[in-house]
Amino acid sequence: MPRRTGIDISPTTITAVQIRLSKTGWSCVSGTHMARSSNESTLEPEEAERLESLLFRKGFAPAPCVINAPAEALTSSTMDLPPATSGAPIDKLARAEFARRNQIDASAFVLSYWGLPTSGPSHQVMAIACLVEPTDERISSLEAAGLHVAGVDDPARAMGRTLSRIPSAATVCVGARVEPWGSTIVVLHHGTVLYSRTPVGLALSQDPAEHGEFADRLAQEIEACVSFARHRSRSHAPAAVSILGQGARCPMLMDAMSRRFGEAIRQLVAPSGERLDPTLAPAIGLALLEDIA
Amino acid sequence: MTPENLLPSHRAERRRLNRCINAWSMGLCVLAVLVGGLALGANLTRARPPAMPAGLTHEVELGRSQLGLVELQIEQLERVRLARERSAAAPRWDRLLDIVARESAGKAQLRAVHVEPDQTAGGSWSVSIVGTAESLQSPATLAERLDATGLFSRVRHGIAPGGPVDGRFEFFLECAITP
Repeated sequence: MPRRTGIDISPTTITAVQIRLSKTGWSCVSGTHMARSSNESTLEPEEAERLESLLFRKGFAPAPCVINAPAEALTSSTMDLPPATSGAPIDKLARAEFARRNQIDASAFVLSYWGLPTSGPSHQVMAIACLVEPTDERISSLEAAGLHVAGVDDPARAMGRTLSRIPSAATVCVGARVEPWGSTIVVLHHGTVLYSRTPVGLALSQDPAEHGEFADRLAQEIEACVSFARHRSRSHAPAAVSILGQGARCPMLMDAMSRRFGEAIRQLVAPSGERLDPTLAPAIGLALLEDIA
Repeated sequence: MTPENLLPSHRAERRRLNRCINAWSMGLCVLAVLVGGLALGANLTRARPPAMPAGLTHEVELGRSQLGLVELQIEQLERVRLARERSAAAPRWDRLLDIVARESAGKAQLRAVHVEPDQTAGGSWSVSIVGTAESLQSPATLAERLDATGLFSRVRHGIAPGGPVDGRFEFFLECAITP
């Protein structure tokens, strides 16, 4: 059975997960965390070697790795493109339009886009561009340490991939990754990422006294996202909310979320039904990337 | 929909190339193992010939027996041939003496018969006969009869010079027996 390793590098922690892929789905083999030696986006070679050593000690088998792109290398925006049936060179048009709109060199990024649900005849897409240079530096550090990087992805989209694999009857799914360095909210409609956002100043405080206020702000953000998704998809089906990251280990925050959203709160589970550590969700989503080189 | 992987294209290309090289190397290894296996299998098969059917074994045995008989017959025939050759090479002294005895009682009387191997031709014999006859015709007749026996390859006769003594001519015969 093939194995895949997902490595999520955040400003404070590196999370690694190894999954085993099978015909029936996937299962989590092992997962670990490593505190960062610096909160800089670039990964120093020493830190990469420390990570490789940790993975070896934790029993990670040699497998293709998928990492998250550095935050400063990612740019996303929505674009209107001609429909696929028009015969127009859509990929070229998308790349040119993205470069023009974001004022970046068309050859300096890797572009990925996917269609969004629209009611009219227009073909709207969500596009993510990943700048080659900062991504290349991170990959070089990891490969110098002996890890084989076969894929790079947006951490928000990876989180959405994890959420989309959780069986649910909800049409709209919202995932909130709450970390000490900030929060990311991902909105999915029928498993497709509609958008993601990182609210300014919404970071989990170390002081529990501030968690009540933080929970209120987070709940407002999530409700706004659910409203947007319902408006966008013209659906009023029940939504599911998942709290991921370090925030899911904070009892006060989880209590507040349960009171606010009740039955909509959904736990992170594997296809086998096994409950998973919510802090592993982004790394699991990276490991689940199918399109690896 | 574009690919989801945001890996820089030059790295993706390098990984694809590495995979191709690995697959090619693996293919070569598998081919080498196959060729080696086939060669080994061929050697093992050659070392152990398949068992012959029972009917065929019987036929082979029969053929070998017949071959043995034929060889024995050839050997016997060869012996007969050699015996005949030996007997043909030796002068038939019995018949020669019989003819000479009959002629001695007639008009030609033989005085001496001398037989000796021919020194000039190996395996040949020379018979010299000396006698007297009442007429010149008798030695010629005797020579013809000897020649007609087929025992001699050459028969030559002659009359001794000096004329008749007591009314009888002296003659001689020289015969050659060649195997």
